[in-house]
Amino acid sequence: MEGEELGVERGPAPAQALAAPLSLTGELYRRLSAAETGGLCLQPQGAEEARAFVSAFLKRSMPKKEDEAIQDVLTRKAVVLEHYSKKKAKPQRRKAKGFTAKQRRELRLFEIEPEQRRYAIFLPLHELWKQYIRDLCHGLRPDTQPSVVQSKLLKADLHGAIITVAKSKCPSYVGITGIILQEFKHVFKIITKEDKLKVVPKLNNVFSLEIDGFVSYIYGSKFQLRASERSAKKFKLKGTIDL
Amino acid sequence: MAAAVKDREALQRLSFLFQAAHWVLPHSPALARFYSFTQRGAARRLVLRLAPSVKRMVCRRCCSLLLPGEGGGQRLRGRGQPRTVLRCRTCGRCRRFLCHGQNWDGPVLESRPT
Repeated sequence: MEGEELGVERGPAPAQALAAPLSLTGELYRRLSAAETGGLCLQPQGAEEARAFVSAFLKRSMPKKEDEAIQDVLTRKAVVLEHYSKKKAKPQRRKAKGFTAKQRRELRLFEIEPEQRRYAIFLPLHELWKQYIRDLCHGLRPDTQPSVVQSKLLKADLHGAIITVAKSKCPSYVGITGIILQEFKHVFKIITKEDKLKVVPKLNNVFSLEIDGFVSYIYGSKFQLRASERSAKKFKLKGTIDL
Repeated sequence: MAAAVKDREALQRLSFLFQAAHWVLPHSPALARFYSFTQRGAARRLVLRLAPSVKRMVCRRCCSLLLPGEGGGQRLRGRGQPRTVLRCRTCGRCRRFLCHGQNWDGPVLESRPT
């Protein structure tokens, strides 16, 4: 009984609720009477003024679009007036063992040490490298076939080698000579005789490496690997080799 | 036999990197760190074992060379069971070992499991 009454009561109520907003919108958008505007110090605008204001406002807010484009946008798309961007705070679980790349960057690499950037300092490193390479190829210099030497050089480490840029797509790189200090994925860091630290990209460059009369050419485009990963990689002959 | 040869070349490379890092250390500890990092990366790629004495000379976190005086200090701590504590000076990471018959050899890389 009560429920029915309640239901009955509620019956017209939603209908009224539905009707109410329609009339409310009529209430919302009708022109303000003079009494109300006088109190609020508002200037009621005519229809043309209002339209002009709106189009000027749109032009200002979307300066790069023309009128037609603006109209197009407004008719086709819904313009979001307020933009909420949800930023999820990701819980960062950092291992205590590792370092993030940012932290690594500020620590590790060759920070500018002007006193240390002298070519003469690294010449003994080059001697060490030569010994290592001789040991690697068992020192039979005139006898060994170049292919054997090449295959060993592919897996060998190049830190400390004296390297020259033989050919390059960019002419300013040709002729740079120096000792390899660091090998990264796409670049070599080389110190030249003038004590300059040069960063030479591997891509589109041909390097020539000399050891005990053996000159070997390294096509840098095929060599775009981190130094540690190169020793694990098997190189296949694929495609033409030209810069 | 072929596997041994490949290993030997790779091991020579690791050994060279290690020696180079030690050599460069007085001039640029940053460069020494880079070489140790490359060495560790190469060893990881090729799944090679490094001798524990070698591993202990390189900090696990920041890869700097730990030499007494330069990178890492060594202390004895603990009363009940005395431990050797190695501390890396650059990143502050500690490694603790129980003291029982440790050999601190020079840098020697062995391929067989220790």
